Amino acid sequence: MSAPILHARGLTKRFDGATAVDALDLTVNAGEVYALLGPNGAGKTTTINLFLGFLVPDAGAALVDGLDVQAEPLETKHRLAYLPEQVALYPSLSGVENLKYFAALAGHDLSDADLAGFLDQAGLQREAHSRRAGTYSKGMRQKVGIALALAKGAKALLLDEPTSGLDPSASAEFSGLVRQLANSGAAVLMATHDLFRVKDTATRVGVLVAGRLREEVASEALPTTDLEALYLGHVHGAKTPVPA
Amino acid sequence: MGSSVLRFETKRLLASGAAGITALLLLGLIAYAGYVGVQHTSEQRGVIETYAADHAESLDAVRQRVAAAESTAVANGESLDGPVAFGSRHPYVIGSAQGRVLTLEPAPLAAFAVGQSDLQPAAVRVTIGGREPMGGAAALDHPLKLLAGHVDLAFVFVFFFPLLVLALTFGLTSAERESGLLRMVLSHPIRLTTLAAGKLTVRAALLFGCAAVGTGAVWLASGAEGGVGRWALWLLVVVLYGGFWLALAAFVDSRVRTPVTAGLVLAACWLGLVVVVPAVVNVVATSLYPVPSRMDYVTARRTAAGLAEREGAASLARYFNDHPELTTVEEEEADFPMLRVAQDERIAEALAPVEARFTEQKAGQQRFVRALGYLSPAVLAQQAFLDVAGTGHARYAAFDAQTEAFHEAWVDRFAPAYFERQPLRLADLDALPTLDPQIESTADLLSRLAGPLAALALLAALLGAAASRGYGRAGSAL
Repeated sequence: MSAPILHARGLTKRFDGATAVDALDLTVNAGEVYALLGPNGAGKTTTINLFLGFLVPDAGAALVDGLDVQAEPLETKHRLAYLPEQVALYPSLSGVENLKYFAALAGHDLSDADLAGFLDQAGLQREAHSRRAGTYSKGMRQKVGIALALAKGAKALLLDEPTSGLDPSASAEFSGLVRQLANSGAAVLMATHDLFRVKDTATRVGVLVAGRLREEVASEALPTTDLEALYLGHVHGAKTPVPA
Repeated sequence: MGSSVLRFETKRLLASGAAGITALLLLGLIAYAGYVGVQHTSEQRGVIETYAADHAESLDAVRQRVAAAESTAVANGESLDGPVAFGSRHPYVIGSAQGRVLTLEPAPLAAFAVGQSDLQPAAVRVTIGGREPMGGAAALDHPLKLLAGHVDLAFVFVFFFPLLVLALTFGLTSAERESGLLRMVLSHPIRLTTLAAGKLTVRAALLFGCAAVGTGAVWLASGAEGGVGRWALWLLVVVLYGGFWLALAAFVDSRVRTPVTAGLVLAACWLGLVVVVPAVVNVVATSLYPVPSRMDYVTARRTAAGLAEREGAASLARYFNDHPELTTVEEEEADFPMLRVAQDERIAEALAPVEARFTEQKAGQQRFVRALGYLSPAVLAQQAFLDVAGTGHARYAAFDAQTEAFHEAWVDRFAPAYFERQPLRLADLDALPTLDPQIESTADLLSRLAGPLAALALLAALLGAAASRGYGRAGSAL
C-alpha cells in the first residue's frame, strides 16, 4: 500500500491551556475523500490549519506526501490546495487574473488558454471568467478555488466547510467536482457539518469531538452506517453509536 | 515567487487606481513646491543682481566725482598724493559712505528648500561703521508668509511624503488578513515575509520613482545647479527617510491584526514624529537658548550711538589710546571722518556683547536641535534636506563669519587712510577688497550629513528587521 498523502501523527495543538487537537492520528490516501465531522470547536479547522502550517503543533506532526509541514513548509504547500468556507479572491481582479496569480505563486506560469480550461473544468461559466471576482457568488468563488486546485495539480485538497451556505444544486455540483478531483488521485480532507453531503461525497469519515478522533467509518461500512446517529451519539455522549 | 508578487502587486496597484492617485498627488505637490522654490530663488537672484547693479552704479558715480576732483586738483596745481580734506577725494567716500556690497548667491539646490534664505540676508553692505544687512521691500516676504513658511520640496518630503507612504502601506498584509485573502495566498508556497517584502518593493519603487522624476525635473528647471551629485544626495535623503516610514508601516503591519488598527497607530506615529516632537524640540531649544530680540539690538545700538555722540572728542581720545599707531593728529585737529571712525568703534564695542550673545544662543539652539533631532526622523530629514540644499544654518553662519572678517579687513584698509588723510585715487577704486564667499566643501557637507543619514538608515534597518521577525511569527499564527 502506498504512503498516505495526508498524515497526522499524534498531532496536538493547545490554545491557552485548552486542547484543540489532542494526539490526532489520521491518514488520507490518494483518491480518498476523508470527511472530518464534528461540532463547532471540535478542532476540525485547527487540524486543517496544522496541515497548512498556519499553526505550529505542540506535539506530533502533520505530514503531506511524507514531508513534515513544519520542516518543509514551502515544499508541502506545493502539494496542497486549500478551500476555506469563504474562498477569498481579489475583488478588483477577474477570475482568470486571480487564478493566474495564485497559480504563479505555486510556480505555474499558465497561458490564458490553460487558465480558461481549468475554469471551464471547474464549471465556471465562460462569461464570468473575465468578470471582476467582486461580483461572484459564493458558488462561483468555490469553483475558482477548485480550478486553482486543478491548476496546481495538488496532491491533497483541504476543504474547510466548503458547502456551507451553498444552495443544494451548487452543493451537489461542488461535491461532483470534489469526487472528480479524488478520482484523479488527489487526497481530500474535508471538515464539515453537512452530513448529507458527506454521505454523498466521502469515502471515509472521522468523528472529531473536543480534539479527539472518536470514531472512523471505513468506506465499506459507510453505506450501512447511520451517520446522523453516529455523529449525535458522539457529540451528545451516547455510549454506542447506532448502526443503520 | 517574489517576482510573481512584484508583477501582481504592480498590476493591482494600477488596477485599483492607487498608483495613479499617488503619482498624481506626489508629482503635483513636487511640481507646486518646485515652482515655489524656483520662483523664490529667481526673485532672490533678481534682488542680488539689483543690489550689485546699484552698487556698481554708485561706484561709477564715485569714480566720476573722484576723476573730476583730480582734474580740478591738477588744474589748481595741487599734488594728487598730498593730504586731502574731507570731500570728494577723501577715502571716507568709499570707506564709510559707499562701502562694499557683499552678496551670497543662492545655494546650489536653493529651489529645493527655502530654509533660512527668507530670513537671512543674501547681501550685506560693509562700511567702517559695520555690516548692514540689505533688505528693501523686494527682499522681504510678508510676515504671515514667513510665519507659515514656504511649501518647498523639503516641506513636501518631510510632511506629505510620509503620509503618502503610510496611505499606500498601512494595510500591507492586514487588509488581506481581515478579508481572508491572506490564508488563500499563504496556502501557496510563499512566506509572509516574502509577500510583504514584494508589496513594499512595489510601493517603494512607485514612491521613489515619482520622487526621482519630480525632483529631477525641478533640478533641471532650476538650472541643474550643484551638479548631479547634489541631486543624488537629495534623493538619498528621500530614500532613507521614506525607507524609515516604509519600515515603520511594515513593522506595525506585522504586529496588528486589522488595517484600521494599523492606520490609527501609524497616524499617531506621524503626528508624534513629524509634528509634536519637532515642535517640542523647537520650543525647548528657544526656551533654553533665548536670543536677544531685534528690539534689544536696536535699543543697544541707539544707546551706544547716543553715548558716542555725547562723548564726542572723548571717543577719539579713547580711540587714540587703543590705536596709538593712528595718532597722527591732535584731537582738536580731528575732522569728521576721524571722529566717525572713533564713534563707530565705540558703538561696535557696545554692541559686541549683544551680537555675541545672539550668535552664541543661535549656535546653542542649533546644537540642541542637532542633538535632540535624533528623537524624530522628521527633524533629521529636515536638517539633511537643508544641508544638501545649502540653505541651512551652516551656510549663513559661514557667510556671516566671512563678512565679519571682511569688515575687519575693510576697517584696516580705510581707517589709517582717514587719519593720514590719504587721498582716494582712481586706481584705488579698481583695487577695492572683494569677497567671494567660500561656504562649504563637499567633504564638510558629507561629514555633517553622515550622522543624520546613518541614524535614518539604522532606524529603517532596525524596524525592517523587527518587521521581518514579526511577519515570520505571524505567518505561522494565522
